Amino acid sequence: MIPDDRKYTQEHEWVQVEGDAGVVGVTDHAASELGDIVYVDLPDVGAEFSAGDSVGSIESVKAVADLYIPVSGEIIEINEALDGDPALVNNSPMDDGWMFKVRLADPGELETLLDAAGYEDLLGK
Amino acid sequence: MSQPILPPTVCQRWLGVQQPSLFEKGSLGRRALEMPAWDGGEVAVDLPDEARRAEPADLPDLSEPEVMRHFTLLSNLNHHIERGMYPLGSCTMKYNPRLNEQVAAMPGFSQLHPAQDAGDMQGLLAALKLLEDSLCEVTGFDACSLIPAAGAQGEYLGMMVIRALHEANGDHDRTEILIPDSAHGTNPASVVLMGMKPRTLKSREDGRIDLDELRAAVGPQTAGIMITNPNTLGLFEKDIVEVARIVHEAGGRLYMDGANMNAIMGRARPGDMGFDVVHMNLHKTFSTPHGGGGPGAGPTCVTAELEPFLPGPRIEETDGFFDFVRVPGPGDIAIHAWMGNVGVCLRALAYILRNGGDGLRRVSEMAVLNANYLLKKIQGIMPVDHDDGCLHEFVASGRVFKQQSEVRTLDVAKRLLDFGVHAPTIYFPLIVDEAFMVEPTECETRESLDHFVAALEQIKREAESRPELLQTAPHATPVGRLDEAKAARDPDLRFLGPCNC
Amino acid sequence: MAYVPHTPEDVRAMLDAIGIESVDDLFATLPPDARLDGGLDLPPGQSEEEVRRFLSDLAAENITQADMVSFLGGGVYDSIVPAACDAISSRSEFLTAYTPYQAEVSQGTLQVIYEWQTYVSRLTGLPVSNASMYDGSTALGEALVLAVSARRKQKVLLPETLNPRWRRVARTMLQGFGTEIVDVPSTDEGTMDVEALAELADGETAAVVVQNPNYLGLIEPVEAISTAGKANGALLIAAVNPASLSVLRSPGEYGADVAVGEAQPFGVYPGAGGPLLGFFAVTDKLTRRIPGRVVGRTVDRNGAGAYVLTLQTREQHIRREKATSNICSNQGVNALRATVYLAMLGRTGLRELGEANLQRLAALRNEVAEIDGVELAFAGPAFNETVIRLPRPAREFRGYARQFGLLAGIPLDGVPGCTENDLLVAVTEKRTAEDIELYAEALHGFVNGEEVDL
Repeated sequence: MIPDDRKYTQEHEWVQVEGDAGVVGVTDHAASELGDIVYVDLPDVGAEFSAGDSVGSIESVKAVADLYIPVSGEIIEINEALDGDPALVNNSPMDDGWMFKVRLADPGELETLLDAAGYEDLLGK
Repeated sequence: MSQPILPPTVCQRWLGVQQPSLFEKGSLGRRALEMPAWDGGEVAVDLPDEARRAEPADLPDLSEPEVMRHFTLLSNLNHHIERGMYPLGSCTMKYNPRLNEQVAAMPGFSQLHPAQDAGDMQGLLAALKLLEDSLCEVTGFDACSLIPAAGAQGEYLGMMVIRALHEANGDHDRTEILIPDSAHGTNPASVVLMGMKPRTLKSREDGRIDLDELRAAVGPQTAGIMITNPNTLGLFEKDIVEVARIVHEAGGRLYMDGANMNAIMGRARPGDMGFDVVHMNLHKTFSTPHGGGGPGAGPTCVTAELEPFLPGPRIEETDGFFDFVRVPGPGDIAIHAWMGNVGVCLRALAYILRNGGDGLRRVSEMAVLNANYLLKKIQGIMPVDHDDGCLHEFVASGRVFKQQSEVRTLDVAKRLLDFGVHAPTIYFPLIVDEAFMVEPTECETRESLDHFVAALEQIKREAESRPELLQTAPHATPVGRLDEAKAARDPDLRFLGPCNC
Repeated sequence: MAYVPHTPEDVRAMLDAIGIESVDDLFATLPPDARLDGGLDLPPGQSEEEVRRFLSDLAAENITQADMVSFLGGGVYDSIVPAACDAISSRSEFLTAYTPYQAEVSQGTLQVIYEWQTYVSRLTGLPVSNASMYDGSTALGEALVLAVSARRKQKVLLPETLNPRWRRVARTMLQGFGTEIVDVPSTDEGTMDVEALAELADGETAAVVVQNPNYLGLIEPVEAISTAGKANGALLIAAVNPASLSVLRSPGEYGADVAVGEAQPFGVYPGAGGPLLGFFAVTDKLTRRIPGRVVGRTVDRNGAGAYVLTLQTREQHIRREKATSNICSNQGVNALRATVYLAMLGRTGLRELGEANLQRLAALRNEVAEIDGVELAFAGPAFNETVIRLPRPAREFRGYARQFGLLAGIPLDGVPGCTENDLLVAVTEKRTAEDIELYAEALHGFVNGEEVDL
């Protein structure tokens, strides 16, 4: 069951709106594909990015995946807890394992992302 | 033919047990290594306090017998080539002759300081020149640099000379290097580090180059192409001469990753196929030891066109005198402080001299014979998708185990350790599902190949009857399967406690 | 055949099992236009005895540091090599093992690397070390690449007094990144000009390198260099002779972010310059940017402590074109030798090694001070090496001193701050009072134009 309270990307990330910010993380599917996640390299707070930029990486024991930003804006907070406990991404990817918050530069960009049904279709393929 | 295998707990149990670290041993004031006595009287030393370290490094004080025991006991925990087989695909784990070690340890070589005059090193330089010439003959090239300290450096040098050639010709836009998608990850890494752009070339299903894809990919931006031949599936690039023609016509140059030279010595030469550069791994094809990770050496041979771009100084002989000569070229390219891993080169020379031209050809023939014999036998246990013309290695697939009982290739590899056989290369190349890549080398006897097959047969039976035995393997080794996630999440990279307690 | 076990019967039986006629059939897929007909034009193979004789004859043609008294340094030193290093490193269990990817059957190699990392960490004062690099020069090159990619800036500062061989390698390795290399000038004392450094180390600088002792053997004002160099956010890379860390301040103490160097003096033969042993250590913050292999301690499935290669996602076979290093080996055998060496030396022995080096160098410097016509080019505190200024080209003295059985040093023509009359002289713990007297005798003779009657 894909939660419909947020938007999704082709790269298996989610973004959930919280006021004027978007909370970004990776999906259950992404976390289980990567396996045991051992390190998350997050962007600096204050850095500004455009939608689709690579802003960090997620490492498992023997793989590394780029972390893309689904929407444009400035990073306003990162999930510090991941530094000490990267397994949060495996245990709770959609919740406690969030990655960073971005101040939405253009909320209209959200419309270009997948909704839950669209993401479910993507996984189905 | 297969021999019955005793339960591994009986026949392959390790002798060794784990040891506390050195830093947990010792006692302050124990001595093993003393300084020679000084009979020059009192000498005042001028070293200001602010230059001195505040505290001496906290190291254990040990006696020589303790040191010897510690390392000897640790050594017992290793698998190694004199203990058992290493069927590691792409790694060419052959026997490392003891003569090689004797030669490299001769004081006439080992005690040379690299800043001595060429006149002091005539014997060494003659040996190195002989090795350069021999490697040129084996590969069909005009010049050789022994400096690269490893295969990855040879590859890097290969990219460097190709780039330097284009630069010298004013072709500043030739910065793209084509790399088949079956290539090893170091290939794109070396290209980028050299300031060029890798472009992936989709290969055919058997990992061979797709000529149509190649024709579409080359152009005025093409600097060259990197090809591993035979490729990672152990297959020879049948169209190589045509590939070379296409790339050369487009203005590019061809680099061959010689990781798999052990398949073709005396049968085919990269220079004759149209390549411009090749690097070899002396620790693979030419029998120098892997040393638990190094040092190896990655000599690189080139055509006369590329010779001026090799790092200097070069060894040249004039009237029987060997000298260091700086060849005019782009100049000042350096990849090592001195002449590279000279000791490794000497070992390889001893190996080449022992074998001679016919012997090297025989080495490749028997390596290919062993691989094909194993291929035939293993096909009854696991599928081998690309079995048409395998040379020194082949790639089987562990997917049968997965389908059968949720046993993964990793589990099969780990269980093999219990039989005294090192695991093959697994999950590479990526183009084969559950890849299980086997390269026996020419040094294994028919009996040891049969032992490997019998072990795999038993593992196949175990996969059916006791899959958990494989999923939890190995069992007869000094330690069990490791928690790699813990190691990476919470890195413990050095001993923290105090010493000499 | 040398190392191939197959009898004709074996070959026949195996061909039959495969279902082919001949060995030639195995190579049927080689296209005719790529085949080598007629075999290799190399001499026939020889017996072990013949090869040994041939190569030992060549070895005997060389004149080495075992035949002469050596004062050569420049990054490779005539240091003590304990017999234990030879004995342990020639054990097949270490020598012929593969890279320890299968940790369950490689605990010996893995633990040795972990111990090596611990030694490097304790000597350099930096917490994280890798399993080793090709040599000191490539370790420095990798450190600069690390800094450029970590800082995302394209300027690095190298001291004029950096080993010129290391400089060339570093420059080559930075070529692909388009990095600007700026030289930091030296003062007349032969050490880094800290005021000039303070001006050059601006906000665009990724890294500042200090070599301590520097190429001329002199001890640098590391604290001042660290303060000035790091003021605007550059990383400080310390290139150090690890033997000097017996007595000199460690890079960790003066705030270095990366420490690299050449550990050949720790039980590795000079071997005409290779294989050597580069080392590499970083701060905690840079852990995941360190190049090469790293071993960590973890547990096995039964909860027992054990060692494993870790942080593998940094490596090029996973990062591919995003990798910042392509190294996929380490100098395993030499790291083993150095680990054995340091175990033999211990805390007490390391201190004595340092003091012995200081003492012998001081003895030579004292002798030089007493000879008219020669002088120390730079008088400041030094470790292991010093520069002697001669009345005539150093190259001439190098030739002259051979008559005394001396390898006198490395001429410094072309090195900033030096002249063709300058000679770099290394004095290790192996040099005796008699060696040093002989050196003084040679200097006397050279200065006074004496013919040597041997």
